Amino acid sequence: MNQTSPRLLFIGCVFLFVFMYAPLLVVIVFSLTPTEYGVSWEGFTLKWYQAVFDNKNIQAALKVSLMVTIPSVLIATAIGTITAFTLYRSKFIGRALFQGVLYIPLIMPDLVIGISLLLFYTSLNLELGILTILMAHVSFTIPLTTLVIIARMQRIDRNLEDAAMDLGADEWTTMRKVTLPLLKPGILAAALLAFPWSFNDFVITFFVSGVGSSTLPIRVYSMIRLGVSPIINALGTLIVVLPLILVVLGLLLERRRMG
Amino acid sequence: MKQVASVELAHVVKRYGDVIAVNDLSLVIGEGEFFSLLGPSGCGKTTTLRLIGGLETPDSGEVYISGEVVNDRPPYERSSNIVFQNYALFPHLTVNDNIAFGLRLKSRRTPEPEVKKLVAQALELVHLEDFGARRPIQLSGGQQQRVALARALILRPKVLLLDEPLGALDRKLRKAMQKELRRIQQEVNITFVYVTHDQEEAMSMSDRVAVMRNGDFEQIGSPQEIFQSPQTRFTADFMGACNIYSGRVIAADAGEVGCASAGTVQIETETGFTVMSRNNLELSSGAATSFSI
Amino acid sequence: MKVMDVYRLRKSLLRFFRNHPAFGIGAALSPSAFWLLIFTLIPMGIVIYYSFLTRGPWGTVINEFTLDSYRLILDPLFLKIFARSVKLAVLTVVICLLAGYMIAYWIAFYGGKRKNFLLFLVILPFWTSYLVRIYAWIALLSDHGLVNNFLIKIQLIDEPLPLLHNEFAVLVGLVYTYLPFMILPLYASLERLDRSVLEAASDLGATARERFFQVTLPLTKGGMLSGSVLVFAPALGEYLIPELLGGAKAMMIGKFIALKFIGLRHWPLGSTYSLMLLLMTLILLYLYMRVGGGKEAFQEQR
Repeated sequence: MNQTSPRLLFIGCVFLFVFMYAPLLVVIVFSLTPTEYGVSWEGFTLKWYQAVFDNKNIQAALKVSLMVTIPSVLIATAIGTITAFTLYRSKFIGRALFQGVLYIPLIMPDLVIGISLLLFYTSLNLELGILTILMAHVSFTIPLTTLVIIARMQRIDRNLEDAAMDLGADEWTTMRKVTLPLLKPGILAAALLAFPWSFNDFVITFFVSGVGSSTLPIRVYSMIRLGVSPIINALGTLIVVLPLILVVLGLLLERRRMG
Repeated sequence: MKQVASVELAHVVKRYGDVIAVNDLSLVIGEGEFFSLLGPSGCGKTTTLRLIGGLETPDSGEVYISGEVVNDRPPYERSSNIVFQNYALFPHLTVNDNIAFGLRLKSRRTPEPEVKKLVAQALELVHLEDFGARRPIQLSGGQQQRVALARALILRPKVLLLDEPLGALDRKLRKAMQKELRRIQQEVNITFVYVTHDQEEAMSMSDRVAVMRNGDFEQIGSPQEIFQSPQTRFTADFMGACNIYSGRVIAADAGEVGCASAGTVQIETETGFTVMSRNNLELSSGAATSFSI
Repeated sequence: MKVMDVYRLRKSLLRFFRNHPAFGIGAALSPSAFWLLIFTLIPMGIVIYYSFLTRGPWGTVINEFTLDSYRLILDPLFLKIFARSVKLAVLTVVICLLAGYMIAYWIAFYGGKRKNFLLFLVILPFWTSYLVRIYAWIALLSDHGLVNNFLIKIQLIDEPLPLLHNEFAVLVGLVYTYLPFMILPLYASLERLDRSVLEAASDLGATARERFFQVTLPLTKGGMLSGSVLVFAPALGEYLIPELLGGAKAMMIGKFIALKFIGLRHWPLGSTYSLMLLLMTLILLYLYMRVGGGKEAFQEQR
C-alpha cells in the first residue's frame, strides 16, 4: 500500500524531533560562542571550556561524581547480575512479590526516595557525604541493572544450558562456560547504562549530599541558581556528550542480536 | 462458450524492486466460477490475489472487475473481498461485530435492524449461529475461518478472494472445510478466486485451475485437463506425477515413419524406449521433450 | 593439593545447594534484598513514622504522636497545589499522547530500514543529563533567552514575552522530559499490530480514517494506557522542572514538599505530603494493573 508517509504526519514528526533535540543543540552551540544567546553567530571560542577546566569547584565535583558513580555501577551490576540470574532461573514462593518490591524505586517519585533516604540517614545520625550518596546510588541502580540483565536472559535459549549439563558439565561449569559468556553483552550493557543513570542523577543526590560532597549535577544546579552563564553551556555540553559515548555503546549492546 | 468476465487481468506486471513478482499475466475468470491459483510459495499467486483485491497496484497492465478497470481504486472501493490466510479477524470485536464491520461503515450505512438480519443470515450460512457474542480468540481455527468467510460474504462482493484459507487447519478439518467452501460457493453463487499450494485442494474444489511459477502461468485448465495432460514438466512435477520421462521426438507427423495417425508422436526416451503418444501439441522431430504416463 | 581442595569444596557446595535450593536462592538474593530492605523499605517506614510526629520549635521534631499533619492534608493551599499538579500532569499526558502517537505511528509504519535508528533517537535524550536538558529550556525561554532575542530581532515583539516561570514553561519541560516514556509503549503496540487486520479493514470498505478510528486506535489502547501511566506518575511528583522553570506561580506538589523539608524544616508535614504523593502513585499503578489485566482482555479472555 501507500509507502510514502502522509505529508502532515511527516512534518509533525520532523517538528517533534526538532523539539526533542533543539534544546541540547542550543546548549552545545552556545558553549562555543563568546556571547550569551545572541541570535547571530559571533565567532568561535573555546574559552568557556578553558574556564570549566580551570574551575577548582568543578574539578572537585567531578572527583566526587566519579567516586560515587564508578563504585556504585560496579556494585549494582554485580548484584544485579546475581539477582537477575536467580529471579529468572528459580521458582520460589514470593518471587513475584520480590520482583515487585525490587522495581519500586523505578516507579516511586525520585523526590520521595530522596526524602526517605534523608530521613533515614538523619535518624541514624549519619553525616551526609560521599558514602551516603554512594549507598543511595547503589540502591536505585540495582533495579535498572537487574531489569536490563533479565531482559537479556529471556533471550537465551535454555536448551543450551540443558545441553551443557547433558554433556556432563555441572551447574558451576555450565554457568561459567555457557551462561555467563552468553550473558556478557547484557551485563556490559547494564553497566554502561548504569553509568549515566547514576552519574546524571540529580533529585535523589540533592537530598542526600552534604556540604562538601557536591556531585557534578549538584554543582551545575547551584551554578544555574546563581544565573545563566556560558560556562554552564560548556560544562553541560561535556556532561551530555561524554557519557553519551557509553550510552550509545550500551544501547547497541543491549539491542544486539544473540550470537 | 462465451462467459461473462468477472475478473480479468490484462498484461499485469508487478515488481518489488528488482524482483518481478508477477510477469505479464493475462487471465479471464468467468462469473460464478471457482478458480484456483496453484503453485509453490513465491510463485506470485498471493500477489496476483492482492492485485485483484487492491492491496497492491500493478506496475503496468489492467485489472478489471465486472468489466471495469479498477487499477486506481483503493481496496475499500472495490467490489471484491478477501479471506486472509491468518483470517485477520478484529481481536477487539465480537464475532457479530466482526461480521457487521463492513455494513456499519459510512459508505454503506446499513440500518441496524437490517445489519442484525444479515449477520444472522451470514452466521447461519457458515453454521455459527450460537457464536455471535464470542471474541475471535475464543474460537477454534476452523470457526475463525468461517467468521472470516461470513465477514467477507455479507458484503455480497462480486469476487471473493481466498488466500490459502485452509493452510492453518489440520488435515481432517481441511477436508471438511473444502466441502463446506464448495457448498457455500454454490449457495451464494459468487466468483471465488482461491490461492493454494496444495494441488489436491485445488483439484477437488475448482472449476478451473491456473498453475503458476515464477510469476507466470504454466497452464490454465480444468482439473482434469491439468491432471491428465500437463503441458510442462513443471506442471506434471507439481501435480505429483512420479513417472516423468525425458526424451526426443523421433516422429511427429502422420507422414513420418512410425506415426500411426495425425496428432500422434513417437518419442525415444533417454533410456532407449520408444513411446507413442496421442496429443495435440505441435512437436517437431528432434525436439527434446518430457512426458508422464 | 590446593586445587583439589577447591574442587572438592565446590562439589560439596553444589550438592548442598542442589539438595536445599532455598539456601541457594536465599544466598543469591541476599545482597539485593539487603539493599532493598535497608535503603528502600526501612526509609519508607521512617517517612511513615515521621508523619505522625510533632513539629518542635526551629525545625526540630518532637517524638510525640499526633495526627496534626494529616489534618493539614485539607489545607486549601495544599489542595490547590495538588489540583494544579494533577492538572499539569494530565495535560502532559494528553499532549504526550498526541505527539507520541504521531511519532510512534510514523516510525512503525513509515520507518522502513531506519526504524531502529529513529527509535534510538527517541531514547537517546533520556540517557543524557536531565538537569542540563531542563537548563536548556531556561536558555531558550528566559527574557534574554534565544526565543525572545530572536522574536525581538525580527521585530515581531518589542518587549520579551514572559515565557519562563509560569505553567506554560513547566508544561513544556514536562512534555519534553517524558515524551519518550509515551513513545516506547505506543511504538511497541503499533509494531505488534497485525498488518493483515488493517488490510482486512480496508478490504471490507473502511476508509483510512474509519480504519484508524475503528481498528488501529482500539487495538493500541494497551500501549496508550501504559504510556499514560508512565508519563503521569513521574510528572505528578516532578520536583526539578517546577523548581527551575516554574517559579512561584507554577508550584507543584513535588516542589511544595521539598520546600517543607528544606525551607521550612517541617519534617512531619513534609513526610505526610510525601506519603500522599506516593499513595496517589500507588493507587494509579494498582488501577493500571487492574485495567492492564484487561489490557489484553480481548486476547486472553476465556
